[in-house]
Amino acid sequence: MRRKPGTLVPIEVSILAAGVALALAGEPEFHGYGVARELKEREEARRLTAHGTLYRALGRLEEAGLLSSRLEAAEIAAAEQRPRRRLYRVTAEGEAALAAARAALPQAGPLQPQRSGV
Amino acid sequence: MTTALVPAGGFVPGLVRRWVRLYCTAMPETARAARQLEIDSDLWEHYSDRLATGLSPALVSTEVLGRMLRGVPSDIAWRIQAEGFHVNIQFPVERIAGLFLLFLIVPFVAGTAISGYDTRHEYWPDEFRRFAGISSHERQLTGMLHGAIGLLTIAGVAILFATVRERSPKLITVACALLAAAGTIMLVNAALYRALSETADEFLATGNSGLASNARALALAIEGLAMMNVTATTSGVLCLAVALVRMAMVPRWTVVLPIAGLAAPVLWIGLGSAFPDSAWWTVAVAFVAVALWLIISGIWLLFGGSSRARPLESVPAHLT
Repeated sequence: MRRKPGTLVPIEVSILAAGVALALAGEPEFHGYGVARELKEREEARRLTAHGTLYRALGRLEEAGLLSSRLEAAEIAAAEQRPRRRLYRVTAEGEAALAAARAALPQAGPLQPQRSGV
Repeated sequence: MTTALVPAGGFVPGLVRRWVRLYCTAMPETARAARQLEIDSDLWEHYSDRLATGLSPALVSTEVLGRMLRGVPSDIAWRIQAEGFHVNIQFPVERIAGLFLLFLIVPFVAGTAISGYDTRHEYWPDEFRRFAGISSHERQLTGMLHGAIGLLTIAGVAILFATVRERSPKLITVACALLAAAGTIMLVNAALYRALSETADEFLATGNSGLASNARALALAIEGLAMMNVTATTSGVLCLAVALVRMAMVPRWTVVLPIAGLAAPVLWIGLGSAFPDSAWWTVAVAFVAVALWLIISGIWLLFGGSSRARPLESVPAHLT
């Protein structure tokens, strides 16, 4: 992917915006499917974000320090009889990057990032 | 890890997991396990969330399958970025080179063999009629065989180039270019031979003597290209021999054989007109010298080359 260093692609803006919105709604941490569902609802998309697109973007954001992640405690997953979730959280750098991306796109509302595409 | 709520044994979740395992092959254990766990969790969440809304399992599976398929390009890109294009595979370089040298005997024999006619025959139409007498099926098979060997040679050269290029870039590049040229000449000759074969069929059906003249031109072109093939092969083999000697992969004395093999056609090109019957001897000397080198070096590399190979500073770690 060719892009200027420090700039975000639409899917990354969408993930950060969804993460911030979830945090504002009282869920500071989110998992992969959770953010895919959030993106679908927020953007009124017809389909959920593809696995490859979603987890590649999450990996890039974490590598850039815009997200942090941790594996949830095994006991919680065991109690709920499901696989352990990787929980992501938008970092302060992520919030700043999102604000900068929104500033560069004045047409986008505070919680209405542009469509992520895939 | 999965529970009864997740259709772990279903076809689509199984397919997604197999795909993850495939593109995570040869990755570091931690990265592979992390991706597998994340997708496993996604599958569980997806099914439990959508089934809870009353969606049928089949429709949820369709959604999951769509997410997997649409993400394939990103998965592949992620995998390449995760480790780069240089996957750490231990190539048995000497064995591959040895196999290639032994295989090279086949195109070398086929390249020097011109089946079914002799252009030096006193009365060409009679010779051409004799050639036309060979069954059409047999002639076509010969042409196809030459074409297939030409293609295999080019493919073999590509593998050799990819395997040993970094050990001696210049010599290996020149050697492979010459051997690939030999393979290409074989392809061209296969096409010309097919044209000659069809001309023979027409000659047999019509008896048109003009066709015999055209056929002689084709036959001479094939003969000339066959000589070029021998020259390209022997030159390529000589470069390869020097490269392998420099890499200490084969004994130094073996290089004498391809030198003799190349000297023969070079001398023929320079002095051939003075010795009209020397073509056969030229081919014979080149053939024996090069074939001997291919056999000796091929067996040497196949059954013991690696223990004698000298490690070179320029050899990348993933090739040693």
